[in-house]
Amino acid sequence: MLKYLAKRCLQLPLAIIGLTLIVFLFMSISGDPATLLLPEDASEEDVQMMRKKLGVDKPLYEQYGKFLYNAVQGDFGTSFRMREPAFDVILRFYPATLQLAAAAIVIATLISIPLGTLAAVKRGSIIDTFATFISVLGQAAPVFWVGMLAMLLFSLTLYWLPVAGRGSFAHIILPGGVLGWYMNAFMTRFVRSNMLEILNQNYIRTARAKGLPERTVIFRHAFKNAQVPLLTIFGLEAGALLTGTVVIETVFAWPGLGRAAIYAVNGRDYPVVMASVIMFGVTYIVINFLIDVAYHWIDPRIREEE
Amino acid sequence: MDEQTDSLKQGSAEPLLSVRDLKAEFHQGEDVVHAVRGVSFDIAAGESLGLVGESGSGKSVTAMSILQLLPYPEATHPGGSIVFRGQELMGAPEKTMRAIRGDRIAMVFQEPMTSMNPLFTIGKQISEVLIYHKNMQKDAAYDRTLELLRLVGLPDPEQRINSFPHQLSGGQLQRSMIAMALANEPDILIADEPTTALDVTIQAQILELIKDLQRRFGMALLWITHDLSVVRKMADRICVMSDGEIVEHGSAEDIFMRAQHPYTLRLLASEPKGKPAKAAADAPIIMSANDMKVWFPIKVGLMRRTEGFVKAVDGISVTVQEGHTVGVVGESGSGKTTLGRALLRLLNSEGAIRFEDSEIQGLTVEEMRPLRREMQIVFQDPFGSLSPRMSVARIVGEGLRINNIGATKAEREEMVVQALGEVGIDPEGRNRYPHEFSGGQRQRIAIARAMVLKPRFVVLDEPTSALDRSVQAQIVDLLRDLQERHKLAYLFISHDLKVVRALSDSVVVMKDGKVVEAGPADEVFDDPKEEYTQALLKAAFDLEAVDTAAVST
Repeated sequence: MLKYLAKRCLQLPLAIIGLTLIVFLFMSISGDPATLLLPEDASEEDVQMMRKKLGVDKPLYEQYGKFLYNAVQGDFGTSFRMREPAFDVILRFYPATLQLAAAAIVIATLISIPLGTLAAVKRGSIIDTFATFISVLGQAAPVFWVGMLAMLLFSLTLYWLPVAGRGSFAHIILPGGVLGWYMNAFMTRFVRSNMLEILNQNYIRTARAKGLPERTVIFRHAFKNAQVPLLTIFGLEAGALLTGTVVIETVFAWPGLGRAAIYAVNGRDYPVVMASVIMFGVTYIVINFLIDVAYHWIDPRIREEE
Repeated sequence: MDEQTDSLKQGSAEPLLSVRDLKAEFHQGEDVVHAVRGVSFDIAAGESLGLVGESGSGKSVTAMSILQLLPYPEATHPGGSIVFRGQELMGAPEKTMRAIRGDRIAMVFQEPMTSMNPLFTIGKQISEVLIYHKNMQKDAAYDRTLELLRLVGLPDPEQRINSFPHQLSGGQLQRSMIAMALANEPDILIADEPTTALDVTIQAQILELIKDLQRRFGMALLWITHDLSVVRKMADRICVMSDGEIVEHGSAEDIFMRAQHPYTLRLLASEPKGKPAKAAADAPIIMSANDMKVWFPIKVGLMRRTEGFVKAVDGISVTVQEGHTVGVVGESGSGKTTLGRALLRLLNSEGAIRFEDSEIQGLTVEEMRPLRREMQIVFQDPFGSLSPRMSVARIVGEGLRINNIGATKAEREEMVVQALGEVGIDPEGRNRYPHEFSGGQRQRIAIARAMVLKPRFVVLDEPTSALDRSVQAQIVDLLRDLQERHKLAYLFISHDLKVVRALSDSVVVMKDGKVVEAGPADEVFDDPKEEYTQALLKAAFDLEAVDTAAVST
């Protein structure tokens, strides 16, 4: 287990370097930042000077080398718009995004696991229909639209919750709830189908033949097996969750990384875009790393393959 | 019958378990499947009752009904009564059933590999029964579990108690399952085909183990199986089931010596018998391999360094003559399937392979193509090997199209019709899809697919293993018939020695990729020289385990 962990930890930087390379290449083919920063009537001489100042006159590999060298030290350059280090900008917005994502995950998990399990156990019942209804609705309705409806109902009509922004606990309920509702839609369906498959396994029949009470059969024997595919989905959903935060942050004016990234893209603020994309990427890689470790902890068969 | 069971039987006036007019149905939308239609039988304490029937006869459903383990509410019992120790189980509350399951009545299932939870250790899963039913403390349950594992003869129980299911072999898992079932010394053990998924030598060991334990614990045994020789060894009384009903019942002797019902007679007659017709000894050699090797590299680490080899086939020579059948027998993992595929050049190998007059080892895919039509293969699983989205005519005709045989579509159609007719499938149904056919019919279609190309050499890879005995016998007859008519050379791969005996002129016994013994079928079967072959034959024909190091556990 320790050996495996060490090996995976060594792979982590490799994945991140790969990520920076991709981000860098995409950024460099998207246009010349010098012409963007200067007024349209700037002279050719001014453009050349700006290119030199930004370092984009050098060959690509040299640019990348310098970028990587700086990036590992937390230096992504200075934000064109905010005139402060891009990394500081990212760090300021990142916690808000993490908070939002965490709230959404907690809400989605708390609903989808019991609801999906119950729907599978009581297949064809009212609960099952209800679970299907919830998940179809959640997947069919675009998240920004649900966000706006929720805002209209809870903030502007009922006056229960603040409209937007970040601050008190009450502020996170709406954005976290809407994002959680969206994630829940997929997860409930997945938990249900996954659980149904497991309940049909031979070892569940064995557990029942042992005379174990149904709750032990479900929560001990079935649920532990359900965790493995659930983790896989969690890793995949992490990506959806991160993009989901971008939309929700915009709708609810949540001062997070997603919203900052959108502003940076609109303003062609390359250093901030680059830093935030890499930050999202690193988050994704780290989540999947943690999931891999969790697999090993749960499933002895995976533990042994290494 | 031994004395103890006898005395127990006489001691109890009323049966331990009494099933009366049991019915079970499965509902799927509008459709209703009547799986069990009024079955009645009794089991006395300490008695062994065998429930025999082919797939779909309702024998497993009957067994599951006793413990009410069917998937309700899709399954229902429209009638019947199950009385255990004077208590009606039909419709009994869940709580009553739970107290009986795993405590008074325990079950052992067919597939040990999937019947244990992969995420818990063997020890945990066994002690769970003790903790739940006997309120044992963890330590006490652990000690008892260890004792049980010793009882069922699991090697290294101290180690294995902390193993996960995937770390054990099928036989070891089935021993663990038996330990779990016996944990609370049940009154009845229901064994649902517990040895069907196991190799013959392991089967023989498990059968003896259960018989021995039954004697020791004095428990009753309900043995569910499709295999007549198994039930003959295990049961005092036998009920023959067909189509959800018990068509005949009686003592084991009655059933085997004086069966009355036509179904029972058919079942008895379907045991593979006889030997192939003598083929010409000087027939030309169609296929031969010399010192063939198939080694799969074991790669490790990031750089996929080769650290060793799995020697699936390790230096095997085999010769198949025209009109002859070479039977390849061996237990799972012995390399017999690999040998068949390597001969057809479906797998890379080393060593010379001659097909008719040409050396085919090393030929490219392109160079092999014209030879392909002359060498065909039929696979084990008739459900998985036919594409569900193609009509039977397309499945059979595909090889003709690919090999550009037949000038016109009509001509090819004619060949398909002829091939289907030859294997006993009504050509009228050729535009139907595989799911509309039974297992036996599908295997006939798979054979037609090979035969339509007029091959010279056919590898038959366990073609009868997934089929019921009675269907098996028909397929064996068909294969013999086709061989005679077209002078086919067969390589017949099977773990079922009875079928191999019925079909083969010569036999190769394989173990761990090597030949243990080879020779004319009569010699190998009647006078085996090697210890392993002797053990294998004893296990297959007499269901007896031989205590020898040549056999694994």
